[in-house]
Amino acid sequence: MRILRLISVFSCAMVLSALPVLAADIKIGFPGPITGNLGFLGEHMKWGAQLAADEINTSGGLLGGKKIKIIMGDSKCAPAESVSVVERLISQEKVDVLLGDICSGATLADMPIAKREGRPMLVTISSHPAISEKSGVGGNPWVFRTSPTDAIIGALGGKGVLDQGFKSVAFIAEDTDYGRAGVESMRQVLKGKVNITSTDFTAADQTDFLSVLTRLRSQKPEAIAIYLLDRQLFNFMKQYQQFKLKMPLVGRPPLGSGLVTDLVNSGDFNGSWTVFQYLDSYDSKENTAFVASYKKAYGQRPHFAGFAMYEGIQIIAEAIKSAGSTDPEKVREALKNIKYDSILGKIAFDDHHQAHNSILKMTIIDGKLKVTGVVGQ
Amino acid sequence: MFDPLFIAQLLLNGLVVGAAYGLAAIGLTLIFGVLEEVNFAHGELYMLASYSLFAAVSFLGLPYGMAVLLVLPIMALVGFGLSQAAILPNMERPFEVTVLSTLAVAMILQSIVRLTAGSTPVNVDTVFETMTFEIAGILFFGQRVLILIVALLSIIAFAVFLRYSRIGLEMRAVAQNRLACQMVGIDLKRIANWSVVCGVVLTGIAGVTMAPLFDLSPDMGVAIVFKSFAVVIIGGMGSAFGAVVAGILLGVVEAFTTGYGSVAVSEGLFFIIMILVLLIRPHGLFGRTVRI
Repeated sequence: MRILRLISVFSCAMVLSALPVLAADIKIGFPGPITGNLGFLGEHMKWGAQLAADEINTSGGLLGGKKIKIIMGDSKCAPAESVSVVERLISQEKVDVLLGDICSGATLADMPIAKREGRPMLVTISSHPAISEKSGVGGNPWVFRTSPTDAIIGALGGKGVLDQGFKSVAFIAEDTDYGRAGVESMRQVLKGKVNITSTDFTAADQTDFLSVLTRLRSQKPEAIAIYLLDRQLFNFMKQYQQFKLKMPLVGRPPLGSGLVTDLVNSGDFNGSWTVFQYLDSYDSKENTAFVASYKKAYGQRPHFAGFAMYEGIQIIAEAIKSAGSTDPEKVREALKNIKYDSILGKIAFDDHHQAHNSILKMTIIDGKLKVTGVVGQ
Repeated sequence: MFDPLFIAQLLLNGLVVGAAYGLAAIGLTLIFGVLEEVNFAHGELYMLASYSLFAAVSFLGLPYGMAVLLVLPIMALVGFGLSQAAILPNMERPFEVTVLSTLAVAMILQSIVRLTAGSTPVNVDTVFETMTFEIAGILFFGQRVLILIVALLSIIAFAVFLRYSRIGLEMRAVAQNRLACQMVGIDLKRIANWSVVCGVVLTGIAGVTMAPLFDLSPDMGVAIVFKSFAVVIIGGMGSAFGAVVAGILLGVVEAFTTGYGSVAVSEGLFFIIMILVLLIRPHGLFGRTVRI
């Protein structure tokens, strides 16, 4: 009995002595879809963030050996769920820094909480123009963004359509803030110059495009501008292939996604292009190293979501290092002045806390997706 | 836009998409028709059949037909398990107990697939899925034509089973009057097991024939369950024939509204039709009078 009592007292002492170490972790939290139709993107978000944290932790951590702890909550990419995750991350998990959700609608809903609670929030994936319009000067001082806005990507997409001399374009986009903002940005550029034959906004979980494709086959637009995420693009491309259509897909289809690699390689989509902020086969020493460690850790090549979160954690770590503390105000000021060498260029924030790193134009040539242009913003 | 070729193509699209809706809903309506129990695990059973097909094709390297023959007996076993775990023990309890227990099964199945197969979507390639035939300017897609044929064969085979087999006759009897069946010695548990197994196998048939059309993911059952419920409500809860007719009706309406309008219009219309049917015929188009 005495031995048992001794063991239990010793165990309690061990747990209590470990507590201050656990409490000293630097906590970085974010909402993202773990369940729902974007669950696999959430998986990549978590992997990218965890990979960066593991690399930092194994090389000695931050602020004299403190470890980064990643906490992700399931938002299902729905604004209401995302808000409750962020509330919980701040009030219960006591996170030091937040990252944005993947969906623009969810991120926009989370921003006022970051402001109210005074926590820096780095948005790495959401692309709605309103996020940076509402941040920095005259707006939310706590929100920063590395992902380019749809206004910039839409303008580049529109320019691509004009450069190729297309006379008519049909839009197909998911019915979300992301899809609508993307179409609107591109439409602004094309207005009066290109005939927009139809615009379809589909529910984000729509998988069947048979009737839309029937109409497009009959309308014969010269190109189809796409604002769909990976899974919908996969289903769309698969059905498009069955229709044996020949018009190129343009705008912002995620052609670099692992889900559509076989379709891209089939050669049926030659001439299709996209404007995106990352491609896993982008040729640079830093990217090759990142892809290799990602694949080693998770058995898959990185998705853009994984890349964006990996860089996000690295940027936050840089800011904490330069602030010398996890004090929210000091980290925020450090983020304002950061100059981070990202895999695709230098990241620094403007007065609306928007970074301007490179954007890639990629085209399918002979069944391979190739980088055909790197555009500085 | 009033090109006859375009209209013919839309009509064909409506038929094939509608047949898929109907096929996906038959299993749900059957269990309700006989036992008056709503199976909320319906979508996840559909997902499980699709993933089992994927595993049989990708990991065991079986051709599509062989894989289907392997998956359907597995689904029958799953149906038996579902009946034993979530339906039979709750038959004498209030209606919502079965709703909650099948919902729990749905969540468990979804989590098991997410944990074992991961969240990254997968897909099944078959020979039919890449086949496209053009006849007089109208496109026929291999896998979708197969779905239309399978939906029609399933409903015919099932009607024959209900009308001419002893178990089928007993299932119809239980659907009509459960108490009277018990009085004449029909084993209610046996019929309940048979109904759930048949319902799950039919859902499995829908899963394996529709899987090659789209990507597969652990949450894919959620979308199918909503449309299946709409189809079952419009067709009449418990009417297998009603499910197929309602499926085809919705498929055709959806094809024409998307063809002449936009996707957004057709999505709303699906549920507007459901509400209208509920207002005019609360038991659905074929409810009560033509039950299974």
